[in-house]
Amino acid sequence: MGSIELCLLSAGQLARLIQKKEISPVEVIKAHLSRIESLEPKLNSFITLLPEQAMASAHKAEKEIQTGKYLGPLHGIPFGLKDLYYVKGIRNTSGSKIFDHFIPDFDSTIVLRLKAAGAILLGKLNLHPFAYGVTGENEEYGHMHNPWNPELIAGGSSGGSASAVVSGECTLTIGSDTGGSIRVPSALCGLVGFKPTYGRISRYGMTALAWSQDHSGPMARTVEDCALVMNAVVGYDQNDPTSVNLPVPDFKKSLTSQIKGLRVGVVKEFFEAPIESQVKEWVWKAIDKLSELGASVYEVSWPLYRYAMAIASTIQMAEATAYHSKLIRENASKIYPPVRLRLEAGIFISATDYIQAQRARLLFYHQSLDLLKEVDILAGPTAPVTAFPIGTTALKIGDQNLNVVSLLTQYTRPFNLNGFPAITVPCGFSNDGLPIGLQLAGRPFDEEIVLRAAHAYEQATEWHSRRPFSQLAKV
Amino acid sequence: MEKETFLSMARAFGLKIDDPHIEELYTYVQKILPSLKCIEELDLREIEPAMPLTPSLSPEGRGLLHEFSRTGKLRGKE
Repeated sequence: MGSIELCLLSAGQLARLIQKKEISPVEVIKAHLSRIESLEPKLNSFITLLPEQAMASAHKAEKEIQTGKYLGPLHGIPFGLKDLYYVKGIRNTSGSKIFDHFIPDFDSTIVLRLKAAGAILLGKLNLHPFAYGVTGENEEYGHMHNPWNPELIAGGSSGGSASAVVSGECTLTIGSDTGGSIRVPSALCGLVGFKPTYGRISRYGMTALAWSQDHSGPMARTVEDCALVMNAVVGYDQNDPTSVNLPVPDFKKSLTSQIKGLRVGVVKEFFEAPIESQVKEWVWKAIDKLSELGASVYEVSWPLYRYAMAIASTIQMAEATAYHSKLIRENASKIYPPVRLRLEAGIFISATDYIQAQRARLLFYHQSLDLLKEVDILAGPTAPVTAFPIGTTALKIGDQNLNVVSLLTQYTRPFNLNGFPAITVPCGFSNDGLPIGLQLAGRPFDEEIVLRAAHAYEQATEWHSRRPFSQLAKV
Repeated sequence: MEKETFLSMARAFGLKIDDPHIEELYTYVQKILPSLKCIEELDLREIEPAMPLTPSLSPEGRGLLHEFSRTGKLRGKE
């Protein structure tokens, strides 16, 4: 098998080859380091690369596997971490030069668990500064680029994580999602991105943006790969005060592709919001496919949906400003200007505004639960548009001129507000060859149904297998 | 938000209000805050905000609560 082909296999495919000793982790890591070397000048997915450490881990994994100490399906699999997850002894910038020399002295829980599963860290990935933005633009470490067309945004804030997976620089990455930062870049780059229920994955050792809406989760090429990561990282963590102590299912086993009788709700308000016609068309085709697979599709109404953006933004602004208050007071002029504005604007959210938003959030949470008594999952678009040129601040849909931040997060943010699990899977391509994502969301701690529905759709279509070969050949 | 209130809150937080950037921030805040006002339309009279120290929100309690909301059953009870 050629080096590039190795880089484009899913983690599940690689794992089967590694377990059978048909390829070794050393070959896998070498192939990825070579891929990174050739693509990084154009994609800029990484902030910090760890080639020597990765090779040492690969040799260790090879030895373990040869001596019968196979740790499971992530053993020898290359992954990248958004550069806001602490790794002991490795700098953690959070996407800002202010922290260019900050070196944590402990590992985040997620990295400890991935290392214990035998996964091999290739490096720390680029992000929108402080994860406070959805376009993946970063003037300090360089913008992230969409592998389907490097002049376009990769999306954010986990933009480097998305471009690295779709281009074959990493097999898996771990992103974070406060308003859509896993799902939006995954949709714009043609990946699967999963945000599990709030409390499912530990946030310990992760730079916060807004504590009560921050989620951690995998970005990968297949739903199976997301399930493999979930099996490795989910579980109670006493270091995270919001970690939930619930039994952990085998997420991989939930991928039966059987969705006969599944009740799928299509929120009518999603299609009253601004959306590009091509995105709408492909998402409806995907919903029809779920129906062909045996699901029953119902139109449902979510009256509080139109308040979600205001409630979530109020909470996010106040929490982000509180978290970064020392930085704002002491180093504001060094913060990336658009992020500085967002951080400082939080000063003007009063305590009353914040508490009212938290009360409104409970109302929203209960209405979300009620909605999911009528149906098992919700289906709709992940983002209302495809990727657009870097530097764009507003987009026109119909006769409306819309701010890109609100636009890109209009479908994802509600699931940060209620904390429910939500996934994006590729569901089509626009006329100009850009990926479109289908979002599926479920009840709290019912990740298995969300993963099963996404897997069933994925296996019945070919979108997830498309790769930006010709686009990257020009790079 | 009145300019005077804005400057007073900015000063209280510790921003330098003679920085030219303050004008840009004021324009931004004037644009953002009205978009959040729709929360006032909601009837919140019966709702208390969730508090971090609510006893049912211990890790175990939170887990049980979520499991109950999902399955309608409490672990260990019929």
